[in-house]
Amino acid sequence: MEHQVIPPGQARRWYYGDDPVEPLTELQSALADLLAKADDDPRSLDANSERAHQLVTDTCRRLSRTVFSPGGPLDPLLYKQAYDALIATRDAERDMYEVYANDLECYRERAVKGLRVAESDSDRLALVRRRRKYIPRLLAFHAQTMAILEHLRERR
Amino acid sequence: MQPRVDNVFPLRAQGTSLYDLPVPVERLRTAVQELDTLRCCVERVACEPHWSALEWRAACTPLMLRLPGARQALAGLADITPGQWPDTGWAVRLAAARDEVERRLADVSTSLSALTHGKPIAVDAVIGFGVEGTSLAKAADELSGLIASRYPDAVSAG
Repeated sequence: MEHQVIPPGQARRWYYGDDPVEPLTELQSALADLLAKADDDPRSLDANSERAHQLVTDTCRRLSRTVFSPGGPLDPLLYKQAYDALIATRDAERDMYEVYANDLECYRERAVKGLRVAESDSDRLALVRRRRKYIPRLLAFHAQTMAILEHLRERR
Repeated sequence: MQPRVDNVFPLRAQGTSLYDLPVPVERLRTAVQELDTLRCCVERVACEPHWSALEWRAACTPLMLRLPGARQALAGLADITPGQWPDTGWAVRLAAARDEVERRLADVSTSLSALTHGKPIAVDAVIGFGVEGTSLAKAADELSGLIASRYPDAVSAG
């Protein structure tokens, strides 16, 4: 594989146009807040799961369009490995969110019906397990995105 | 009988100025910076045998982001050849060191792919990555040191 040597001045030209870092930083800041709350009280994520999932979706879309895009700061061919890793984590988050959101909905519906203690405990335990599997996916996505942002800031 | 001259390379004088080198000084400086950063990134990845692919992806993203820059920096050194460089001996050593880093980079890149997409992660893959990462860090350090020791002014000049 041949690699073209890009003089430092040329590699940074994209920054004089639309800066993708700022909006991405805002999205990640919002996700970090949700994760901090979940760290204090994991149950808080139940009320914020949709928002967290939306933040992941929006971040990934923005990264694809403004960062890992032809002419963007990180050439999608050169940075394929990092981009594929990001997409794999986004997919893992999406898959687990689907299951977690479904469990959450079932739990709420069944709670309204007035379950017996044993049934309620069983539902709650299932939800706790799902949540425990979902949070690491959010954390991994956040870590990867923060690494990308850090890399972009260094190139400025 | 006419002597064959097509396989004879004239050697340049060793006292060539930094700015008369066949490769821009900035390229040497960029290479040293990229190699040093790459080495730091590799050394920062702690090999945890129980990590999932998800955890490997999170831990190795900084390193994955460094690989293209390092490859470009190595490509920038490809013009340093014994036939063209004033210091032939140094150019030979540099070409060998550069090839070594390229090989190690390819090994680490392959290992990363296995770790970040593998299900489940084999302990052998983790050990392999640790060994290859150490070799890459060492090779990058040697190449960087080779440039810095021969052209300290080029590396330190801002």
